[in-house]
Amino acid sequence: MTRLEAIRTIIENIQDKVIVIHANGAISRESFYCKNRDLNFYLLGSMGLPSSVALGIAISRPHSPIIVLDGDGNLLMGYGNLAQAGALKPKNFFHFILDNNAYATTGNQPSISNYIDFENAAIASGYNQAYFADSISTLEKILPQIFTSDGPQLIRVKVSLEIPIKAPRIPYPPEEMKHRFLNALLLPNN
Amino acid sequence: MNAHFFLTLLENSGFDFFTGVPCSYISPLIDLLSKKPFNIHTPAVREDIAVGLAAGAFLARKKPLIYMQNSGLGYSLEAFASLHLIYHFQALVLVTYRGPQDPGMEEHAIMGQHTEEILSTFKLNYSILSQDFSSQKLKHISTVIEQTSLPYFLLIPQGVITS
Repeated sequence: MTRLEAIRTIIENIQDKVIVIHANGAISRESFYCKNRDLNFYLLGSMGLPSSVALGIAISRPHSPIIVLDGDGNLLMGYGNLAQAGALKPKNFFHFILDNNAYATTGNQPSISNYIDFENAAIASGYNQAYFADSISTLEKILPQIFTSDGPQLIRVKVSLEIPIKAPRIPYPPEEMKHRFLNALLLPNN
Repeated sequence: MNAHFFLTLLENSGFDFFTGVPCSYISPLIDLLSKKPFNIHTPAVREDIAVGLAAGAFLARKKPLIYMQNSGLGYSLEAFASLHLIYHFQALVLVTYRGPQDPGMEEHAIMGQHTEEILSTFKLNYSILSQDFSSQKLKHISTVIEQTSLPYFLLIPQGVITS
């Protein structure tokens, strides 16, 4: 499964009201390429912090489901976020790690994720559930399941380094992304 | 200034999301915050994570306050630069001011010496908290935060916040 296939599977199998916070780099760009949603928020930088931003929203809006599309390098940089989420225990927080064992955006330099058991680390940190998916069909099976039980949950998705398309940079300036997101949250269904 | 008085001013100004990493200079304030639930006060494991949490809270339409030592300002600068300063997220940031005026703290000497310089270099609005702080002064700070849609930094020297 490529990262693009994993992102497409996730983004096309969630309800409109789900908030999605995206890690910087290729994860943001490929998700934008797959499907642009008003409740998608794209981080341009702030490596290590996608799950922090998602957690800040999750504890402030306990009735909105929040997904974070994180990367292995990103999680390793902000590893304290596992403890932060495990302790705060937001029921609406679903943490996807797109694990390609590399810093793919900067040229596929290897990460140390192959030495780390993210699923057990999450459980030891206080997450309620941890899943692993290495195929589109497994991911499709897990997706409806996760929303039926409480977060925090971690879903590690093993993806290949293959890049089928080079997704372009997101054309919105950052302030416009903020306004778009803030306005979308005001809509009655969200 | 009494911590209870200071917190009341902040709450009356609408601040409703507090996160950060502790400092003894503001421990009476943190003691009060620690009685609150996680959705109002979230102890953060690192200062940059506190900045990320506050960014999320702002996106969820809260009015966030972040607190840290000036040592944490070093860890946070890139987080501010790639979140608040480009997306224009609002926040009040309390930064305790450890430094040259506090003898015997070698670990804070360098950051303390350059704290104001760093804030100026990043063109960040800041002032130093004094005993005569008032609701008027906080109102002015809130206005600056809203008009610039950027964080405002309040440096807190030792002894200004009391229990």
